[in-house]
Amino acid sequence: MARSNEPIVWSLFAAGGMVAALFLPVTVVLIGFAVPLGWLDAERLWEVVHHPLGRIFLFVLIALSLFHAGHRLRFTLVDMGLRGASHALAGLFYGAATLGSLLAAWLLLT
Amino acid sequence: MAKDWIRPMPRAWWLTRRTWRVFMLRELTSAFVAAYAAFLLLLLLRAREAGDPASTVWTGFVECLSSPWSLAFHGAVLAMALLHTATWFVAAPKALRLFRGEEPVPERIVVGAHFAAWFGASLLVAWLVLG
Repeated sequence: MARSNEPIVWSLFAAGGMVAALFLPVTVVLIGFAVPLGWLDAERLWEVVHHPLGRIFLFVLIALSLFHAGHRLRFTLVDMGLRGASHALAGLFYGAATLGSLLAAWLLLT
Repeated sequence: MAKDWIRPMPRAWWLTRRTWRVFMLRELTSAFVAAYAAFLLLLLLRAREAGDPASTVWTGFVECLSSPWSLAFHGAVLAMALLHTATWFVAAPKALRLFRGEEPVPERIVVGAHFAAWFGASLLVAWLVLG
């Protein structure tokens, strides 16, 4: 049987789907609406972003969201007719997700 | 594996039926999930650039969150994020078959547990950040 990276990318897709489902709405509300409403000021947002828990939260949310979205967008475009480009799309989306995750790790760890 | 013949499909096949349009809308939530991950990276880049919470780079970025562009962006992302959450939880029992003894746990219990966990997790995060 041919070796496949399918279990790895599917696990990342599923984990990312769950993390985004649980935590993306509250994150969008806090940054996009609690800040304009004045419930969250610039200094508090700074503290949250630099707190160890906040850093772990953001890294997991960013990295897994990227792998989730990359996998889903790849197969959405394949379903839309780009069947021949499936491998190129895999390289593009998983590559972008990997780079985004590395950037997040660098920004949050150093 | 032999190359299978694939029936040619019209480019816009997914527009022709309501269930397919809903399916495509659900799949397209991922574009918004990715866009928000990119936005969070931008926020972290601005924080890195600012180096200090009193820096105008940071306060300027936070002020931009009140702009109409930001509100429209966050409104669109929130709508698609909620659609992702709802469709993800409704699909969860298909991936997670739970049994209590011989009896399968009813799907609505599994879906309900996911929504309860979402509610709890959202409250916890909001409380930790705002509280």
